Amino acid sequence: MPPAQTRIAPHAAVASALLPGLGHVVLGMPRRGVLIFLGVFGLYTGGLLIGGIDAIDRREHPLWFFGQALVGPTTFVVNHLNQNHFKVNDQGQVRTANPDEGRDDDGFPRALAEGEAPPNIKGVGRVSELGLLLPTLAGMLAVLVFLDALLPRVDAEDLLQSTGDKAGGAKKDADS
Amino acid sequence: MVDAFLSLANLPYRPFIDPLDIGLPALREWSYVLLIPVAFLVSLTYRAVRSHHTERFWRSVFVMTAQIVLAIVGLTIAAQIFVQIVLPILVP
Repeated sequence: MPPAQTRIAPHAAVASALLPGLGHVVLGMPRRGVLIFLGVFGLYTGGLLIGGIDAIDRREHPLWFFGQALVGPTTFVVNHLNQNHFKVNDQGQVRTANPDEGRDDDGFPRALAEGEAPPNIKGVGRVSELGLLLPTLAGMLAVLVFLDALLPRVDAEDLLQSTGDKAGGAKKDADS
Repeated sequence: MVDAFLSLANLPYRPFIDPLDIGLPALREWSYVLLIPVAFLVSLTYRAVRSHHTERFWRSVFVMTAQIVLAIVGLTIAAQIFVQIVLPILVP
């Protein structure tokens, strides 16, 4: 079997860095791109669902955030929301509101009204660990996806393409 | 503060904002079951990147999922044997 040929596709790499799977769509492999998107964002949203918005926190978990940031701009948006719309500014220290604290319009802590919930509840224990782990796992897979988009094999087919349009996808790329 | 923590149990769960165990306390006991969907999603992504041809894609995804789950279960059993049996022998 001859060695697989690769080429460099920087435009696909940029698309992949913005949204994992998009790079493969740009390369003409939409089904592969959708499967990648489902895998990476399944893990990512699963982590957010399990750990809550505190799972993405640049200040409190900087090392985990480094791994989560590999997913792309999504992580920065979620972190921005967490820092600016959920956390409270307690005399210069930005932190998660205590269970008996609310958040005023300027971001400072205040007493909760009757029946009012805090901006968010902090995850603890294994739930918090899973919330950190899953988006980080998604980030590590996003690196793999990025490299595959940057250096695609020219003989790669779009996955499941045999059930649909055989003429499309990477075959076109390979011929060009 | 303790009262405030206890009162959290009465608050409505808000998806993606609060941790899931607020709405689903059983998750604390059953979190290890999440290994299966996590292994599946990792396998799906990995195989979507690495499988360059269409044949047997889904089969390879399920095989890899099973391999990950079995490997983790094996590591768990090995760690359990080491901690429960081997360590007490080494350090009585």
